[in-house]
Amino acid sequence: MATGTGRPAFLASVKVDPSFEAFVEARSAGLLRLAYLLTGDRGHAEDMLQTALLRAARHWPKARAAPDAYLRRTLVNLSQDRLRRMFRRPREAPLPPEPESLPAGDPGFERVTDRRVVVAALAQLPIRQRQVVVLRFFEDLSVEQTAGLLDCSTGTVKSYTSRALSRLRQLLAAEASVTEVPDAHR
Amino acid sequence: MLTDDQFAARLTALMNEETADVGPVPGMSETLRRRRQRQAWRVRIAVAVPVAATLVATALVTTAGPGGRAAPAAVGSHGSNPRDVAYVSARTQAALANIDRYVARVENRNTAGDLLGWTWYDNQTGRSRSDLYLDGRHVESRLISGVNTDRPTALLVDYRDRTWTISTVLKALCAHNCFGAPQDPTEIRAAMASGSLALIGEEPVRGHETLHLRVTGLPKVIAMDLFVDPHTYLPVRLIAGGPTTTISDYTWLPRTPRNLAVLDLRPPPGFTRTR
Repeated sequence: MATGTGRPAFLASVKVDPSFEAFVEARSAGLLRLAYLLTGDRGHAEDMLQTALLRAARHWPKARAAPDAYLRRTLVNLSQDRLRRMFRRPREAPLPPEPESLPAGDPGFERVTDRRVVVAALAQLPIRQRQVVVLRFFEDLSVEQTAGLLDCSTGTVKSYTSRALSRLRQLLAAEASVTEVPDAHR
Repeated sequence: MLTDDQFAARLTALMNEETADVGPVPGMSETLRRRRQRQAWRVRIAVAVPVAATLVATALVTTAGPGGRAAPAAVGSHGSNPRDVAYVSARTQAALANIDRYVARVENRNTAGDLLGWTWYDNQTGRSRSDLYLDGRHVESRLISGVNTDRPTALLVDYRDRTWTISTVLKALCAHNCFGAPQDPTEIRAAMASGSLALIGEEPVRGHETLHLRVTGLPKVIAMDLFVDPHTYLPVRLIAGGPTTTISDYTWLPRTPRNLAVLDLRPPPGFTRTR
């Protein structure tokens, strides 16, 4: 059975604010990218974004004043919660690939086209450093805004930023040396 | 060597580049609506279960009889009226007093499932016909007419002796059928009026949900279990427990010529009248 809007009747009892749906349509991609950089995993990022959006929907009258800030803070908190949960349970290990599902193409080509070196490097940072880097350099927040969002001092943000950049330099340099094709073979 | 600012700018570019293919999730709004609906239901259930449990417990406490047995007043789920024993009893008696539209067909069996016979009632003309079976053989038919008059008559056809007889009967005896238990609507109403009633609950009978009433304290039967339709309050089944237990299943038929013809009992040709 469907309602007049074409929506199934059993969904009709949930009141949906049109401004919330418009916000989801407009910003879900950007927020998913933020969640992806915070987690390093696409699946977890989608789960996290859904959870964050559901929280925003519940508190939409309050959140609609500054939905981006609300969602950003929720995602940061959720990424921290996720990390805590990961330490409480056995770590997930990826399943070995099925032989049939292995790509038939050139593995070197796959690696070049599907490299996510920064995402991988961010995933190796401590969560607070990762959050600072993503908020400051991906979300383009100021030191003060980042400090406010993370509930810490500006000095702490600067300290985290410095350490994170230093660590990223090392990680990216190491990655470049591994993937760089020697001149002799060009 | 890049400065921190240059490295940060490079980092920003790389992050944008590496997440450029992370596009919008298709159907995100719909997914959110479904999840919100599920959450809403979880909340409703979480609230409703304790409330319902409290209501049931309260109902059980307030309707518990003097012997401690609870009358399941909260069992009803049909309609908006409360389902306590007084309500169901009143509705059942009212329904039994208003059966002129129907011809009632009653199938009688014992607890082993053996057919004891059939009874047909037409309240409008004051006629009832009983057909008695013994070991699967049709042995007797009895038609009582004029129940609503001063001089009811009984036509009895005996298939074993191939005889028939007609006689007047006492009005007080008209209600007594050959199955030895309260069965016709008048009997049931009288039993309900004189006995102690309890509403046992809802039970399926012959594939239909019914309300189960128990009548005790009757002179001729240990207990009478009456199962009534929750909408019409007409009997669906009656189990009369006495020296022998009879199970009577009721079907309420329209007063069509074909159904009424069953009540036109005539002695078969060749049968002898006896006095």
